[in-house]
Amino acid sequence: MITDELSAVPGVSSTSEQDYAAKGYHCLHEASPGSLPALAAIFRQRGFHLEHLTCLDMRADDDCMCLVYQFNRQDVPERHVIHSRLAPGEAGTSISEQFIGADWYEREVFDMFGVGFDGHPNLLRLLTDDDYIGHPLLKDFVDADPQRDVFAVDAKKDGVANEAANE
Amino acid sequence: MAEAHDNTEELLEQLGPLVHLSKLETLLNHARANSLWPLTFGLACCAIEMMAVGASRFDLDRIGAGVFRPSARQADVMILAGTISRKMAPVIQTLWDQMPAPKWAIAMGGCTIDGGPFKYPGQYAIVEGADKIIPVDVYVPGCPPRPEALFAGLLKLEEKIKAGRKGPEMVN
Amino acid sequence: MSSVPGPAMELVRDDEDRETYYLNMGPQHPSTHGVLRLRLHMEGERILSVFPVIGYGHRAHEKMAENRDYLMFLPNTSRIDYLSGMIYNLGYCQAIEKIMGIEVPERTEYIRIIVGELNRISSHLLWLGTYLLDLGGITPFLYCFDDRERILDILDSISGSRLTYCYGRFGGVTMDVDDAFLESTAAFCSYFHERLDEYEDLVTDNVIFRQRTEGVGPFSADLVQRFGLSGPCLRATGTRRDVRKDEPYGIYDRLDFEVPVGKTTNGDCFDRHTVRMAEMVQSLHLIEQAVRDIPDGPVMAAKVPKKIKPPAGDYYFAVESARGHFGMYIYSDGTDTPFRIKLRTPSFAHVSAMTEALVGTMLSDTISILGSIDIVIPEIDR
Repeated sequence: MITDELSAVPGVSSTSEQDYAAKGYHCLHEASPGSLPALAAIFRQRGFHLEHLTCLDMRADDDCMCLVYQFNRQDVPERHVIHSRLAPGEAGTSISEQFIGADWYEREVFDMFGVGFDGHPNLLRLLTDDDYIGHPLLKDFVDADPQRDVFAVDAKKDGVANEAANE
Repeated sequence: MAEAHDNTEELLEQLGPLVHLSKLETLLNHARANSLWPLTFGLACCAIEMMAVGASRFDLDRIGAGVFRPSARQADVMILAGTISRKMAPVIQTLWDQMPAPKWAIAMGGCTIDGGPFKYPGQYAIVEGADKIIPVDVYVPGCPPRPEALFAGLLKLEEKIKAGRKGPEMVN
Repeated sequence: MSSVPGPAMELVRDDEDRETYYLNMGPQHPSTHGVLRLRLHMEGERILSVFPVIGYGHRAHEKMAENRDYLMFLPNTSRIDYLSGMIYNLGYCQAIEKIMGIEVPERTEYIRIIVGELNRISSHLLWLGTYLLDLGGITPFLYCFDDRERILDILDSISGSRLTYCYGRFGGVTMDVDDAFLESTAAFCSYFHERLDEYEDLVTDNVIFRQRTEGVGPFSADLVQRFGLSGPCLRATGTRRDVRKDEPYGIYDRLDFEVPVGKTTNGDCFDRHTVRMAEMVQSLHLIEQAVRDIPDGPVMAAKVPKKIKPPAGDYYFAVESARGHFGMYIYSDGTDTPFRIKLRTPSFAHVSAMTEALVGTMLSDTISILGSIDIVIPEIDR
């Protein structure tokens, strides 16, 4: 297990081994967003791959957005989960340089949660329309224009007007 | 009086063609019904059942509808098979506009009827029903509908065509 | 890049004064296997860059998981990847059973193996038929779908569905299987062994198929690592990894089966084909063992909690679907409604890898590569 190497990276505030049979992964780390590129470089060098990258909207309980990274290895399963807490409005740091596969995962997090990533090559929405307003997976998300006439000439204007009304 | 002259053209348009060839039209309608060319248009799960209808056990070709056309300009009937996402809705309308008249649409599966299993208050991603964006002729319920059900839907559409429905605008 | 369909073709002179054009492929296209849009920047027949646009099949599964309880989310699971619907459905049940510590009866474990592997074979058959259809061969499509109908009849008889199954429940399965089911499954297995030999003759040894797949679209180990590929795309490169062997679930650790890898270690389209053909043989092997050894007994656990309330915290569970590693990251806040379920689907990584794998290929090879990675778009868009 490369746990020691990972916990030595500056920015990693805690590392705890987990019960694989109960949780499904081996190790949980808490890391600052800025330390992710260094961690990703270690994972890359050691032959790990990024299994997924997602986000949890914890603003109600912990007043933060928690990014979740999950890395695993091909030869012997060794699953590391990294929680990276961001203040609301703070951006994460992209790891697309180390793992180009993270490009799309980060775009999805931006689309669904509104969390930006510094250093991302082209942070566009992934699953919703480019001009969509709102971030659907946030807990307080309210669709600005449910079941609207998608071909209304003023659809774009309506979207903007609704957002202005919500603010 | 000037008004009446201005309205004449409008009136003629509303009346439609002044010559009707009824027996020939019936014949044409039968021909159209028995040689429907569907658009290859699978969106989600229902597309697999649509492919199964075109395959060997259920064989759409025996009612003349087995020639799937990838280009909308060569297709008669758009079988909307699968959930319509908001992002896909303009694309569907473009394809519908590209299809030349006479054209028909079959809404296959619960999702195209009213959103199906994905309908719930707060659904932001889908269009709840194909008839919100294009005029639909036949609805085939199911999730997904069995191939026999889609077959029945096509036969129902054939009945409709033989009865004279040529699509959203009556074009002769 | 706007996702609203723009002009299909644009001719531009690029920085190196080459005459290039943008070709829009999809979202309605016979060979994209669903609603995938690829904006291809091309010079002649060669592709200079690919920009995939996804989201045309986005149905908000993950949002739906947050506003209904764990049991109500069950029907969604088989619609994520509808070709491996049974595997996803049972996989979700197994995830919740593991989290809640629910023990499943022995008979159920064997039933789950049988129906899961039957589902895998039907998915690979559909892949084979449509892949050949993309390459221009129409005959195998009809053969494959006919064999697939036999499998669907068997699965229909116990679950009531042909495609989107909701056969699993927390603690077991909905309905017990009878002798007729076991007999028809055994009959299918003996029939299908010979049929696979026919497919080898019809497809694998076909000279046109060979020329369109051998050497086309090789995936390097570096590509695999950077994008996180899994399933047959990974095994075609020679890496012998399978969730059923590495992180066994159910009774896979008790059954005897091999994990096939590509014959060459190129990881090209032909290797992906041979891996899937060999996987079908292994699935038959698993089904035969399960049919032979299935014990009697109940099919539903004795004690299943009425309300599923996992202890607060995060959990991860993975299964091997027909496409690769399908994982569910479940974050629970202790209530009966999930706080977040992240669905880690294999096709997501595979299509993002296309941004690199398709560069420099010819358009006809692109079709071959896209078909060989076996993607299902609603799984990418969720």
